[in-house]
Amino acid sequence: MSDITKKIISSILCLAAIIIINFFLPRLMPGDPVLMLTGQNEESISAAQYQSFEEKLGINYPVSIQFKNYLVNLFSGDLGYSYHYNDTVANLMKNRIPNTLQLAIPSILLASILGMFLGCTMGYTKKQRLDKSVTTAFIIINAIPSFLLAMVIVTFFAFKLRLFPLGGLNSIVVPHHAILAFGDRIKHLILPISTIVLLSLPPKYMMVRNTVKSATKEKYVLYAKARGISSFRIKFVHIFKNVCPPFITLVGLNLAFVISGSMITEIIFSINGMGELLYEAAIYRDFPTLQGCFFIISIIVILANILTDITCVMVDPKQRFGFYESN
Amino acid sequence: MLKVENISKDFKVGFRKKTEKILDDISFYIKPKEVVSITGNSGSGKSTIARIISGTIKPDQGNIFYRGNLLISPNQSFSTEYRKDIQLIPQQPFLSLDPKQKVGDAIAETILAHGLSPSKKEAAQQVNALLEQVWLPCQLANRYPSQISGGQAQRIVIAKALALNPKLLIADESTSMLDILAQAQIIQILLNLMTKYGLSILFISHDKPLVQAFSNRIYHLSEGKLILQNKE
Amino acid sequence: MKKILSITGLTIDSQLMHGSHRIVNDLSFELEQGETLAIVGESGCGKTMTALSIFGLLPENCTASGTVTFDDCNLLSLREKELSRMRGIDFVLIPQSGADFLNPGLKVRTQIYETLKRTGIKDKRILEKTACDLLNSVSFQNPDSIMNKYPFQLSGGMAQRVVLAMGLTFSPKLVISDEPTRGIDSNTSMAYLKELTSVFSDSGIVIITHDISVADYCKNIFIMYAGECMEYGDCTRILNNPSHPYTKSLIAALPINGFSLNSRKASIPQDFLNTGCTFYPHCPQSTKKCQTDKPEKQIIDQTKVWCHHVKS
Repeated sequence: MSDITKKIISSILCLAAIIIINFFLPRLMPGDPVLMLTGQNEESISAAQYQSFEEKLGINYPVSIQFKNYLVNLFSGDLGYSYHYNDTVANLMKNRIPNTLQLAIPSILLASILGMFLGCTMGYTKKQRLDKSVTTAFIIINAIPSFLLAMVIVTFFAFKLRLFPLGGLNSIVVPHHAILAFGDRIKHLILPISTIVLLSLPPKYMMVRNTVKSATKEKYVLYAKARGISSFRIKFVHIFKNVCPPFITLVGLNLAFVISGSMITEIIFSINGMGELLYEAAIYRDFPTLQGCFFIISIIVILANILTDITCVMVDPKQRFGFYESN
Repeated sequence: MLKVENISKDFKVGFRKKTEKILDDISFYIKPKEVVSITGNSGSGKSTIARIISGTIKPDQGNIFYRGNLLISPNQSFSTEYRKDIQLIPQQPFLSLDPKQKVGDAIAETILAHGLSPSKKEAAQQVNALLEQVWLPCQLANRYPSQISGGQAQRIVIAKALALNPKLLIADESTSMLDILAQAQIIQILLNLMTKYGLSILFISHDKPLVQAFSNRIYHLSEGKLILQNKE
Repeated sequence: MKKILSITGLTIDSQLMHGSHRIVNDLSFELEQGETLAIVGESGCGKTMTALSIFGLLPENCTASGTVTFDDCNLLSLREKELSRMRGIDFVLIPQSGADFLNPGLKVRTQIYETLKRTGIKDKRILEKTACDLLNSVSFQNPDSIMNKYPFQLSGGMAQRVVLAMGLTFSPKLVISDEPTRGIDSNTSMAYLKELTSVFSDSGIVIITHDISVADYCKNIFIMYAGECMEYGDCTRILNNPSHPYTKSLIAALPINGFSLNSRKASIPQDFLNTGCTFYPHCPQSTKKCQTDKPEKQIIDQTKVWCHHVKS
């Protein structure tokens, strides 16, 4: 069996486990599942209301039928109904996922490129002092809690200097012209994106720098130097090629963090994204929304994992052609 | 003493897991107090033989007998009774030494793990005796692997194998990365041990002219087949 | 013949945590066009450092002094930029095992092309043709399939020939081959050395090796121990009639001579000693004088020997 088939099978098993946990969690937690799934209060709910909710949710059926119904709903795209928002969970997320992606995709790309570039440059440079100061700066950034960093950025750039808007994705009056509207959006995105980039950059930078640093002692680097290959090419072709596989794995793992972990950034910059939805759902004990979010996030993480594995194999010839390994 | 009969081994290679036959129906034997060498090009499967005999991987087919008893077969893992008798000296000594552990402690650990010594103090004495066997000064026991040379590391690994009083040593490319003087030393040590303790040695190397200088029998491994070479 | 390389008083020091440490002490040798010189010594004796100092690729904590004259200019005083322009063109390094020294992540094609591109060739077709010619000249039958492989898919011998082909790109004046025979069969290594010397017959070749039997292919031999020269001179003369005790012990330890050793400690690498002969702790003939005085150069039959026991 090839590694990829194995990976896909294990991902499917993982998905099944997530679905099962998602189904049983509200039913196993202390408290009444009906109240939990509707977000109602024991005192405020009447017996008739309780009964109607019970029927609607199908809680009075045996567990096996409940599970079947749950699965059928899930595969038809019905993730449940949020009584807190009075909307289907699918609808809620449909509105918010684009906002999150607008933040996540540029941040991931920017952080990856910057991390790779800075890491390669600092790992290879002969200027010890420059390398040390940049690395120390990243260690300090890494140690700052994310909410604090976001707050500092807001206070400084938006509040004090008034360079950028405080929050949201648009100005209150969106310009009519498409280009102006786009420019307005960019202006609003700059601060949250740079916050996420700053937060996810240090681990990437450290990993690349350290890998490059040890790669400079490799024999192939010495031989490339002895052949008179330019140091630019050694950095960004020779070493880059060998740093790629572990780097891609790191970025893949980081994806989950950026999707869900931009929560704090989204809240501070008041952007209606997945993170904010998750946060509110947790505060109001809006269980259907939480379940839905978890489900979608897990699927994204699983897909990202498969994707990183495939890219790693594509990028790394050693994995593609392989050495002898024992069965 | 050791009889290897019809061993075969497949490996799955690469991303698509293509099956490749590494060892194809090989048989040979080792008598007591004998140096048997296996030569072959790199990648021909020499090390696989070493790993099968030392019990780290299982063969797909065939049996290995040790003193008339079945030692290894596809469905029988290494019987612990004989584990001590057959010792592998690995190819890269530095990789088998813990860089954060003093080399003397590494040897003592082996002795204590097998209960060959009642106390740490006696184990330390045994370590000194073993170092003497491989012509190393006792002070070397207090060094870390990064502070010793390749030839010394190779001898430490031999001492580690010797700690268990083996009957058969498998030396896998033990001298291929060493200088001429260090190589001469390792071979002298191995031959000394052979005459002194009646050890048998299975010497695996790519260097035919080298093994011709001291082996009783030489086999050549190529494309999975093992052929007995006449001693020239 | 034209003199290509002349090294005088080359000394290399390395800065360690606890002070400085001498790796190479006062080496001098010369190389003519078409000559092959073997630098023989055990690992850690500073022979690779000597080679790296010619390329200006010493580790950052090492400093070299003395003069390395190549083409009428002192390489040690050149700046990095000028050196990097000469590297790979005027003098090339043939590393010990091709597979370790080629980038495992790049195809052989990419790595040959990047060297070739320094000639100024940009056209893909000419690049391809030149690369094929290069590989053909090191007796590859089907260069195209070799170029599409990754270094780890090549056998040791193939990788070595690829590296040889890359060295051939610009007919270099000086070729330094580091440990050409380590880890390969002695029969194969002799064939490889023959190929090396025939392919670069117009250049000066320096072969760095631990194996004194390699010296059969060389004109001159330079024997090093712990950063110092022990014996330097014509190869056949030294191999047949070694004067220095260290040379004698190296020859005795060869497989054909039955692995005989003078002393049990013979291979413990020795640090450079400031006073006395560096080899005296392991020398079977050492005396009081060896311990206190540095041996002077003695010349016997045009062979230079540094030993108190040799009288010219």
